[in-house]
Amino acid sequence: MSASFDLDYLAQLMRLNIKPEERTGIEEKLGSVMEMIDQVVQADTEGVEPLAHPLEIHTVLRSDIPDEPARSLRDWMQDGGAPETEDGFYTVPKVIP
Amino acid sequence: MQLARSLRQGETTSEALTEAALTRARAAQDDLNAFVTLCPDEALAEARSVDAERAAGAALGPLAGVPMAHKDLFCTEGIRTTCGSRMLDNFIPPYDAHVVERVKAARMPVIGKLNMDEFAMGSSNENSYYGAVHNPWDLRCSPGGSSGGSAAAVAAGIVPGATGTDTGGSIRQPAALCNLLGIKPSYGRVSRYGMVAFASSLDQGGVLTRNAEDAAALLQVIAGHDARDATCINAPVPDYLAELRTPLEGVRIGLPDFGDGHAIAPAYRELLEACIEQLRSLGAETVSVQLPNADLGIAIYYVIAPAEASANLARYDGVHYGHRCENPADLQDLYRRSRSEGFGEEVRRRIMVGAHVLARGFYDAYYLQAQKCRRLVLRDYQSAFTRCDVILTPTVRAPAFRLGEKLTDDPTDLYLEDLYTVGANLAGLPGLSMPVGFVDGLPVGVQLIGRALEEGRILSLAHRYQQHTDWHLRTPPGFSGDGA
Repeated sequence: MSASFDLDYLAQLMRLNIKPEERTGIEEKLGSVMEMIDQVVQADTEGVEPLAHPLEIHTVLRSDIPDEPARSLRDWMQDGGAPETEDGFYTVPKVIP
Repeated sequence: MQLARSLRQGETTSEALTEAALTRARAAQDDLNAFVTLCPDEALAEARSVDAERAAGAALGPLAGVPMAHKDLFCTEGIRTTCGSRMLDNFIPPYDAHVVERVKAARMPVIGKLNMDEFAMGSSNENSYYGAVHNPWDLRCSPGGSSGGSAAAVAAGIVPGATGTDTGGSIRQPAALCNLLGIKPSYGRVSRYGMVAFASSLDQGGVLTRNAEDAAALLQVIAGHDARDATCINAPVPDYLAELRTPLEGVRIGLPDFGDGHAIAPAYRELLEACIEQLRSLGAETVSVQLPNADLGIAIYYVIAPAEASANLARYDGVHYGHRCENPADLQDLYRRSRSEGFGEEVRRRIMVGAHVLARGFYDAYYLQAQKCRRLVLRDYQSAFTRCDVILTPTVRAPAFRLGEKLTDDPTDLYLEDLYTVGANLAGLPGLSMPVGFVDGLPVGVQLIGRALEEGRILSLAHRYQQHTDWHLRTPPGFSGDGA
């Protein structure tokens, strides 16, 4: 079942580029991982509830106390925390053509 | 603890200890590559301040002044935190992780940040952007991973203890391969606040030290509730050092009967048997237990961990922080090139596996099914713990392997390193690895798994064992640092 993965689709979902010269190697290695995880598909889990979390704890609430960071996020961004900023805002390439 | 006693008795100073640790770290760096960043200024300033307070008669915590180091995945305010990745090569966090805050409050000088597999994905420390770490017991070998820098630094006597994290075995496997005690606490025992996320339902911070007493003392520092991690357990932390003195009489040790897929070499088997015999002679009883779904562990892990990683690593977009590509043509190009340049091969592979198992049409067959299998694993442990108090297994399949040896066309060769350890992560249980001897001159370990929140019990077993054996006292030739 897992043998049928679509590398380009997965790369697109994960926002990755696949270099042509790497393609075969990546496909082979991904294929062996997919083959290995196929064991779970075969397992008998009739009537078993999924377990998302080892503790099965419930949502907890905490007091809404604002953090007082040593300096503001904006200062941190402008001091090199963010790769590119302008006037305290993140910059991205033009989105609307 | 030995260093802490020397400090209290005035035989040495924190500055001298910290300076010596930094000197050893620098001297060993070419051989081991254990550190990504050293923090001499911060560490020495803290050491001097602790010395001054001690001289003035201030009340200080038990580990105050003892140098240590953090795995480079705990955020440190103002100090670069790379997670072993090019993606975070320039990342200077604006805040401290909870674990880092706790270590600061304990007044332990932090000499640096330790190398690791990128985003903690790996079992050999060969997936680091900063190069592989070498095993002090044999520089041609891997120290294990992903907490490979932590293991190498403690084994080489650079520092007496270090933090690590364990998602599938990343504390226990390197501890075993470097003759250390490494403990992964119960899920939720240590806050994940400020710990760079890999697989959030499995990740847990812990410690690597030479012996159980040091592990108990350091775990005491980092364990406990923190409201900023909603999965952190709000339960009192016992006095782990006091629990070390619990007698072994009547403790029931469960010995799982694994299938052929779990075979270990006869020489390792003999060490395991000798360890069991020693524990029996100290009053423990042994019973056989079944973990029928143990063979599924690796496959379950490699569905759930990549699925969670694919979501966690979506935050690295070239915009907010971390690596950004040059001259992006448009937003998609910015995302794709920043991520393709910033992530190494193993990380890219794992997040694509994650995308696959979560994709429409595959979600039920893989992700949901893996979660059902995860419950089967949890039930196995619950059932085993009705018959025993602690489960004992090998930690690894074999001693340290040569660097490069497992970088084959089949990544699953290396994934099997976690065969014995993933179960505790899937079930959220505490597990430790302790030294039990050598196979062909290289150390191996035994794993003890306890019930949830029973870290004290597995540490006390290890402590009792270490009081009657000397495996943990052996240090690698050429690295005779006195950081113990």
